[in-house]
Amino acid sequence: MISLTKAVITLAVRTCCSLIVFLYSNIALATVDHISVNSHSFTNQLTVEKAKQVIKQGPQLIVMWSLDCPACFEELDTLAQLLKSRPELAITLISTDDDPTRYEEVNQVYAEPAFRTVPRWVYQENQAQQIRYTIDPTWQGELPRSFYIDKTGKQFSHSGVLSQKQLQSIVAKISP
Amino acid sequence: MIKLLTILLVIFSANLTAQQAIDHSKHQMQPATIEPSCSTLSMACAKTISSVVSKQGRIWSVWSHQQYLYLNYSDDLGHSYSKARKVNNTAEKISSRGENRPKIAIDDAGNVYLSWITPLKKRFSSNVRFSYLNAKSNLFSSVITVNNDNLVTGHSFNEMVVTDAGDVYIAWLDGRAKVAAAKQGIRLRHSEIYLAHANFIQGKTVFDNNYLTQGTCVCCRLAMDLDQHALPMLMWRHIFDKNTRDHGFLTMKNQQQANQIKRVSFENWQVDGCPHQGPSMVREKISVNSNRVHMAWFNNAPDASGLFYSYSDNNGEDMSKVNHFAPKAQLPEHPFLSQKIVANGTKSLLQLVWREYNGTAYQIKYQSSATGDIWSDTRVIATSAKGVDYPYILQHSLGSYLHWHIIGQPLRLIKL
Repeated sequence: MISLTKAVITLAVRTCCSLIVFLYSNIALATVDHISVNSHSFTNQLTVEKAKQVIKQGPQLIVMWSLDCPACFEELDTLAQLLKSRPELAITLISTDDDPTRYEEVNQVYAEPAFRTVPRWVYQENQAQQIRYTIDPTWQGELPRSFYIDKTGKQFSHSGVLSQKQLQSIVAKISP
Repeated sequence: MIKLLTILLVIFSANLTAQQAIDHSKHQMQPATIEPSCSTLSMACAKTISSVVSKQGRIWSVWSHQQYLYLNYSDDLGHSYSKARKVNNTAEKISSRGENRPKIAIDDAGNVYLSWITPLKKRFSSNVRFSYLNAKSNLFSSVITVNNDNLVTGHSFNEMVVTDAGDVYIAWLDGRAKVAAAKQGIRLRHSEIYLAHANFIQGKTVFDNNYLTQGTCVCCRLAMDLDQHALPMLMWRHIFDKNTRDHGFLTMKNQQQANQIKRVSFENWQVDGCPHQGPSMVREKISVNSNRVHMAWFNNAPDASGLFYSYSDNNGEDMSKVNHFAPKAQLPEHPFLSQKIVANGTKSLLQLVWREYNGTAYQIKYQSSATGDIWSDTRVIATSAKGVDYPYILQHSLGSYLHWHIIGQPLRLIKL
């Protein structure tokens, strides 16, 4: 009888804990999902209005990239390595592939576990020029493009792959 | 048994192709009306449209929908189009965006040549594909792969020119050296240019593949034209030194071998990335400057940014004074050069269009020049707030036309 009661209590506690973990993970997931990628469909298409909000979000490094840009994948690899050791870094990824038929492929790139903690966006359909101009009116579309805002609110931009030295310097400028 | 099946298959395929020809012979012209939605098959909904004008004034256009390439034509300057014909019977991916788009050319006999890129499963791997519409039979040839290396690597940014006599030249950025280097643990960060040649009128139906040069940028379109011997000449974004993205130019010794490359731009843009901005080039076909090669390009060095123009009278050995015709502040991009021949072929006019974005709308701007030395004032030819394609020029016997596509709307042909 005692052992039966123990088993019922254990089961109740486990169920309760699982429920709490489940609810918590869902809350955490929901918190992340408003800025990142749902694994099955894109909910984070970047519009001009959303781009204005993104660049207002304090010190951060924003990296623009495209599926058509081999050099961008070198940059993404470097960022993934960095984020594995510094997942708290304020980095935002933006794919400039403004074509819904390519969103799934963008999604696959964003599935990299190290990117799970950072906001990940893709341009809304047929809005490349407008969004580009909103983020940085001096940018002519070359990729990868880095745009960062330091702790004092100053803005900087860079075209091409960031060297390790440049990346470390930016990290120091955007970190609290 | 296998032979019998093969024969049956061939007969079946021939019937299918013939059926397409019968449909085409009805000449169902379709008005170029605005499409309400882009979910259906239509030229207006294509992401890119490439066109060429025949000697008779027929405008042939190639474009893709989902995994098929389509060809149609207009005999009334784009007011109506023939029913679109499917080029590939088997579905395949077709690159159709930005600087990587299907190409079209025509010879004197009216054969229409088509070349495009089909991406493969592995990222940055693709093949150059080809078919042509035979003017006599009105049938498309079977689709073939132009690159002959049988490697899963990059073959992209195809460009094509065809001589009046039907010599087909296709050039592209090639990645076969990357495969060889990778086997030795080396990661190549540039591409090579390969050139293929065939002539279907003369029965040379297999494209040869010839290496031309190495060290090119990997993500910008090539510019191609024919020299005075009807051999190809090429201009492209090259990587000089470690990361200087300026432009290279070459002519051919013969159909297979290139002369040494010349550097033709000197803005010294240092960028370890993808500009996605290739040049434009046209050789003067008539006039006293018939060997003059006109070139326009984008560069983005800190002290030299925007669009530039220059010409050479000796195949890139010397360049004229550079004309920085569109400064960076106007966000200019994607220039396109063309030569209009007027007065029964005795005079010519050089025409130049490009795209700008002013923060709220796109503008297509235009300049012209007799020789390339003195240019007209800049004129705005078209404006649109919606996302638009790159500008091109079509030379027609009734005039020169800006070729400009806004996705979801009929192709615009605007008289310059």
